[in-house]
Amino acid sequence: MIYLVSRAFVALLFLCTLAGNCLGAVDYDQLFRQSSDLMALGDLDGALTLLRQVPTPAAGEEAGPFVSSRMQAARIHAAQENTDSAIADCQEVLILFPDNSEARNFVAALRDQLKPGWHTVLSDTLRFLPSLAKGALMTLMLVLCTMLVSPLGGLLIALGRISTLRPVSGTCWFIIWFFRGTPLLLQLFFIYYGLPSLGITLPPFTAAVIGLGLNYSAYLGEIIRGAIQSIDHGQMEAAKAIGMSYSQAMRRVIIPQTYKRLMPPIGNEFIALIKDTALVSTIAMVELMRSADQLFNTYFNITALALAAVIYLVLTTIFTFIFEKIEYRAGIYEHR
Amino acid sequence: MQLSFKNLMKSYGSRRVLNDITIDLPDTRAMAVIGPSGGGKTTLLRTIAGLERPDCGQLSIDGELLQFDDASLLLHRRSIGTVFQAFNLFPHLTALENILLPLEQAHGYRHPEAMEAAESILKRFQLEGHADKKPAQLSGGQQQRIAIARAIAIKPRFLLFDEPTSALDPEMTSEVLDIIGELRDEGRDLLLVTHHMGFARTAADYCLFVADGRIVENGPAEQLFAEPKSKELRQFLGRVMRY
Repeated sequence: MIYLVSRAFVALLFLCTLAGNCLGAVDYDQLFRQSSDLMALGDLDGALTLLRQVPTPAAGEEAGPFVSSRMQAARIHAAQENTDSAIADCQEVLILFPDNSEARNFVAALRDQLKPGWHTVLSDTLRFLPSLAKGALMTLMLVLCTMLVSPLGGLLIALGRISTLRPVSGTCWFIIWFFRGTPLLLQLFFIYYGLPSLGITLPPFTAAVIGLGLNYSAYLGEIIRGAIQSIDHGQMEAAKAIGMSYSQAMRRVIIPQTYKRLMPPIGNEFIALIKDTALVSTIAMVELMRSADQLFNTYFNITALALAAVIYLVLTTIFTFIFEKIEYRAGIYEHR
Repeated sequence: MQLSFKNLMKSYGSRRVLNDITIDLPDTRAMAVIGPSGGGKTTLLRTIAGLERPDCGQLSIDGELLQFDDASLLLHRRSIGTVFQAFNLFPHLTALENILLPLEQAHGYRHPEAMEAAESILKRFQLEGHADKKPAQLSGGQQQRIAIARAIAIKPRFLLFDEPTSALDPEMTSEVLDIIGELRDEGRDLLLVTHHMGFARTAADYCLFVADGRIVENGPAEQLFAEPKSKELRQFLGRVMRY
C-alpha cells in the first residue's frame, strides 16, 4: 500500500515538472539551441531576435537564461563590430547585477576597442619603457666596457702577431684562431657555466665582459694588424733612420697613422657588438633583449619586442654617427 | 768620412745584391754612388745607414767597425742622417713636428731646445712659412727639403741621400740639389746615390760605380767621368749620357 502511494507521488511529481516546463513562458534550452543553429547558418540577426525574447527577470526569478542571452547578444554585436549595441547588451545585465564580472570585463574590453590603435601602443610603450630603458642601460654598460677592453686586447694581439718572437706570435695566432673559430654563445656559456667547475665562479657581468672582450679582441687584433701592416714600409724605415726605437716608432709614427683606416672596420665591429650583447641574456644578464623577452612573455604583447628593436636602432645610429665623426677627425691630415 | 768594406755580402732570397765587396776607400767629403738600377747602390747605402744587416762581412766607418746588433745599430742610426727617395715624412705630423720628433724622441732634447733648433733650420731653408702644414699640403720639393731639415737637425756625423730627387720634377729637383750643394760647401760629409750624372760629377769629389752587386770602379769624380776604365762604366755612361 505504502509502496503504491509512494510510486504515485513520484509519478505526480514527474507530471508536474513536465507540465511546468510546457506551461512556462518559453523553453529556454530550446531557444538557445535554435539561436545557435541560426548562428551556425550565418543568420546573426535571427539569432539576436530569438535571444531578445528572453525577458528581464522579475525579482526572485531565475536570472541565468537572461544573463546568458544578453551576453550572447553582446558577443554577436561585437562580432558585427556594433560596439555600441554590444555595450548596451552588457549594460542591461549590469543594471540588475552590477557585480557581474563577465559583463564588466567585456564592457572594458569593448571600450578599449573604441580607443584608437595609437592609444593602445602609446599606453603599452609608457608601460614597458621603464624596464626596457633599464635593460638598455645595461646593454650600453656592456658595450662601453667591451669597447674599453677590446681595443687594448686587440692591439696587444696585433703587436704579438707581427712579433718576430715565435712563441709570442704563435700564442696570438692561437687566441685569434680559437675565439674567431667558436660561437660567442658557446664562449659565454663556457665562461659562466663551465669555469665554476674549475673553481672559478664569476658574476654574470664580469663573465659577459670577459667573453665579449676576448671575442672582440680577437677580431680587432686582426683588424689592427692589417692596419699596421698597411702603413707604407717607408714610415718604419724613416722612423728607424731618425734613431727611434721600435716601440717609439710604433707609438709615435705607425699606430697614429692607422686610426683613420681602423675606424670603418672597428665601427662595424662595435655595431655588431651592440647586437651581440643580446647573447649575454642567456647567462642571467638582464639587458635590453632579456627585458623585452620578459615583457613579451608576461603580456604576450609584441610592442615590447618592437620597442627593443627601436632602442637597438637608436643605439646603433648614435654609434654610427660618432664613428663617422671620429673617422673624419682621424683622417684630417689627409685633407688639404 | 772614410769607408772600408770587407767581404760584404747580402742576398734577398736567391738574388745576390751585394757580392763580396772588399775595398778601402779614401777619406772623402762628398761621395756619389752611380750605377744601373738593381745594381746594389741603394742596398749599399742602406747598409751604411744601419737599416740593413749584411749576411756576412764587415763595414768600418772612419776606422770604427760597425756592429750589427740592435742596440749598436740604433746608436749608429742616431749619429747619421738619411734622406729617402720618397721623402718618408710622417703624414700625421706638421713639418715642424716632423723635425721635432727625432730631436725629442731619439736625442733627448727638451721641447724649448728642440723648437729652437727646428725653427732655425726651417728659417735657413726658407720654410718657416710652412712649419704648421702637413706634408700633404706641401709640394714634393718642399717635402724633400723638410726631410733634409729633419735629417740635419740632429747634427749628424754625415748625411746619406738615397736618390733624393727621383720622385721630383726638374724644377723641384734643382731646388733640392741646390740645398745638397750648399751642405757640401759647408763642409758636411755626405754620400749620395743619384741618377744625376751632371750633379754627381760637379758636386761630388769622389765617385763609386756600383753594378751587379760590386763596386766596379771608383775614383775622383772628375776622373771617373772623364776616363772610365771598365767596360761596364763606359757602357753605362754611354747609355745615360745619350739624351
